Amino acid sequence: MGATTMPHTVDPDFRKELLRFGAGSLIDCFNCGNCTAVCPLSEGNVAFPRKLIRYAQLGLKEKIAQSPEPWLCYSCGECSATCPRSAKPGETMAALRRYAIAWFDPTGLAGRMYRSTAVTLTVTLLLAGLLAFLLVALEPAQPLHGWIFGLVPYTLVHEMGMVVFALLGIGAVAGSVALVRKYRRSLDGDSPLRGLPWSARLRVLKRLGREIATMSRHAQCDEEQEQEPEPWYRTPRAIHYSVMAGFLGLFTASALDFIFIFFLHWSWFPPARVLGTISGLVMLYGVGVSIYQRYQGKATYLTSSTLSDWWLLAFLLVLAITGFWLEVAVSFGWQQPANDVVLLIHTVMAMELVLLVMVTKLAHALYRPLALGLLFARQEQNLLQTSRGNDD
Amino acid sequence: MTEQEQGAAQQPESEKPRIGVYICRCGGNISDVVDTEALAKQVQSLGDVATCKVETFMCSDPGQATIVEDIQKQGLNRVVVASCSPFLHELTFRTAVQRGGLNPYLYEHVNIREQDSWVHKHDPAGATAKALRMISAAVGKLHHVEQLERIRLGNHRQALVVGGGIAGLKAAVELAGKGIPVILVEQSPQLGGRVASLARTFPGEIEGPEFVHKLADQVTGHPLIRVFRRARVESVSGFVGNFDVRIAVESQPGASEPPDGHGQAAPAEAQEFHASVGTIIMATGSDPYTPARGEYGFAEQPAVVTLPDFLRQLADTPDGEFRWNGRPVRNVGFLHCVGSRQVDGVNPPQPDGKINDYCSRYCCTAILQQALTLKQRFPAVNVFDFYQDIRTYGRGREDYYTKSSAAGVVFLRFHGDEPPVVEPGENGSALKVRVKDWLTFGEEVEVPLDLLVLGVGMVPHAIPELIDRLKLPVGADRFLQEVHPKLRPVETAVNGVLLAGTAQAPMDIEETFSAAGAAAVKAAILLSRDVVELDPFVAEVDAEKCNGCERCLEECAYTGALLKETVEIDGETVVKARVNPGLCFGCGACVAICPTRAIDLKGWTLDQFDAMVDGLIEAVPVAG
Repeated sequence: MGATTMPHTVDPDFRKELLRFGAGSLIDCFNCGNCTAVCPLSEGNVAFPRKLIRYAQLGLKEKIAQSPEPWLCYSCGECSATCPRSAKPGETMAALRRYAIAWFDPTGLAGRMYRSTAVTLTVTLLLAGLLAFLLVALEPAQPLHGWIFGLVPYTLVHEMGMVVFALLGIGAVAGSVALVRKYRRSLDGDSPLRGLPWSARLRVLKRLGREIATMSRHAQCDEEQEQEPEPWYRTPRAIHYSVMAGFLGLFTASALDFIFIFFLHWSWFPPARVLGTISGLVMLYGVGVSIYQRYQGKATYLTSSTLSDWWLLAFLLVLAITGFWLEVAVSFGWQQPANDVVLLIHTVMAMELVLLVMVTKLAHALYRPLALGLLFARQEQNLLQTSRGNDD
Repeated sequence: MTEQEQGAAQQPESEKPRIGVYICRCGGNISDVVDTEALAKQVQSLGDVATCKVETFMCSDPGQATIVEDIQKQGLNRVVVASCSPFLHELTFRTAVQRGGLNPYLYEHVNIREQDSWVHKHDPAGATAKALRMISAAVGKLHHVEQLERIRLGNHRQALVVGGGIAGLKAAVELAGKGIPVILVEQSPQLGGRVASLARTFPGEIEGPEFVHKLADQVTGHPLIRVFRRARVESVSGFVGNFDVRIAVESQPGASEPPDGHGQAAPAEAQEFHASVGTIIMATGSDPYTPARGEYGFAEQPAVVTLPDFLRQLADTPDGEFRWNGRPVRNVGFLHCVGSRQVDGVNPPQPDGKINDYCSRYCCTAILQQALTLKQRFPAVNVFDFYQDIRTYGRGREDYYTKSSAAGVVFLRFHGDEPPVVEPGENGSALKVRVKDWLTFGEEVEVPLDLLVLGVGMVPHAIPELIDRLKLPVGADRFLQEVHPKLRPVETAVNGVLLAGTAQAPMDIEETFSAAGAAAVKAAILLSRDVVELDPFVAEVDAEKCNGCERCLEECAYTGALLKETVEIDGETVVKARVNPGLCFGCGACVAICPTRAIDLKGWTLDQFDAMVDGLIEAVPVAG
């Protein structure tokens, strides 16, 4: 395993910095390694949390940025529950994920939002106001429409929207590239796929696909819960899975609706409606239980929640509720004066969620699969090395 | 000066030896291998063995009672016990023999456990045969033993304490408390030694000067203690009970003192005092290790200081922003094991070519105490602790580690063969320390520092003249050495010379006090009587056989143990050798060199050795 030969410089101020991202107590950790020992996902050469906690203690930011490990953790909380010093390593892992999102975000917005509640709320509300204003102004019947598009050409606003989405795409790519490039530094600049035969690369992809579809690694965390195992539908993995699957289902349904109704001018597209309804129910369940459990704060993996957790859950909850409202309204021709407001809220929040994807907790949907891919590639490399070693 | 009262009641030597031999089973330790019953039968047939018995535990009360009873009832006049090592029970059985009414030196101890059954487990027949030969040798020797008496010498019932640090002060106070006069010699103008300069001490967080003053007041105020400050032991000679000491004093004791220190020259009115003392307590203490120039940046980087210097300066630093020599300090490092636990080939050797491979023991706790103090007084300062092992042993000491850790001290662990490297700093910090940190999985990290405190170890205070004159044993670590670390921890091989405190080994204050107390008790025992009794196993010159060749004098390793005497025999002046029993260690070097067999070691004479060799050969073990 290639490690960079340059010594990394200790940054004593990093601990305080990481506390603002919601880290556990780094002072209390005495590097015993219990956390790594109990972690069901920690293995051989991808040992965590201890390693990352140590990096954080010393403020070895570069080493942290090079480590995919924070993304491999599903926050089962076992480490925090067994930590002999109550240093909450699980929360530090979560903080390191937030820190990584901020690190890979070139705009610096993510960092500011994580550090400050005020900034998060201001950004959320300002963006919501702007989006609402634009959405209302797009309706030609509204007096605002004439006023605003008397000042600014309609096409410009439309194209700016396209530019914003393009920038978002660039942001996502930039974040991914940054993560992989940092990781490559830990390999002395080598590609994580270097030397891997195509069959092995294919295996990496297949495992990644299976992992996204099944969250089987997350299931390993559940096995760790010893006393009174939760029924399957209340396991952390089931809840997480329902939020993710519901979100992806809704995203797909919305996209299908957009294509068939907006572009192809169908009156309605039944498969999208069915998918959307089921997905919405599934997500509502996941989000609902998540919010309830976080509110109770009983489960080991949910002892402390930060604003970024609530922010995402709140968005998903409101989107799900407003989505059902609109579906009922559309499907049953339920005329309500509030419908317009609900539609506005739904659209604004959906757009906001997408626009802020790279600076909020939602960014893990991109970084985690990437990190998993790197992990699988590393495991393939190890297999390759072992078999070569055996040949010698 | 030497009064030797030899031989008390003489017993008739003419009577024929009646030897009792006792074989111990040692609860199976011996009898599981050696066939003790068969052995006893064969021993019975050795010359002049009147009785031979086997017991399960000879050292038990019934075992000892058997010896006493047999001496009295069967008229035994020599005794052999074949059992364990003489270190364990020789004295036990000598005393039993004495209780039976015999001279205690009419006894021989045979070790058939460590030297036989334990080492020949797989050869029981051989072990039994060997035991017979060993017993036979002892029986042979007993045909040539004489009654011996312990050597009794006069005793000057006062003590000399060398060194006025806390060890010396404590020993002096304890001895004086026992009613024993003490002469205390301190080279500096002040009492209290190193502890007097410590701002805070552990355990208890007591101020060093306050604590030393209390102790020094007890010493200076005590009518039985004479204190010589700015003084040194100019010369010393003699032996236990009879040491002759010359003390040189730079100025009169009790004269007005300069405010501080070793460097200040006193108005020279040099004086000299003579004293005769029975014991000497060495409380000469230790010095903090002085790093070599450039060792971890010492003396080259102004931001590198030793722990004692840091301690002093921290005590004088006002609260508020932490500054060192005017510069604001944000990051402070503490480095353990400087001058301690050195590794051959990694750390450069000391001027004498050795490395300090010992642990100085006080530094881990002292460092963490200072790190904690620093963190408590200046919470904004980042503290890094570079260590090999945290050895905060002892009651309550681990708290310093726990509290420092809780206060946010960051620990980095290095291996002794890869010590940290100190380099000039960058980006505004004075230093950077590069270390392979084993808490970070052996990765190399760089720590920017504004100040680095070297946790320097202890080295013994140099006293080459005293070591030379008293022939004191010195360990490989240059500290004075005790006879046995467990059984005789404060005694030296030089009878009457005792050790107190860090002259012997690195110790903290608590341990120093314990050691000083123990030395005082040992000294008090030696000084409790008007005479000093010593083992009789010393050399003796047969003046008739001595031809005055003086070769024994050249061979003798103990100054004063052999003397040259001019005597007149038949009007002729001849030179003869004479032994001073107080100084003779009974090593036998003179016996071996003497060409005329004029010298013998009492209790181990050449005739006895001859008889033992005969005994070994003559015993013919019978198979079965």
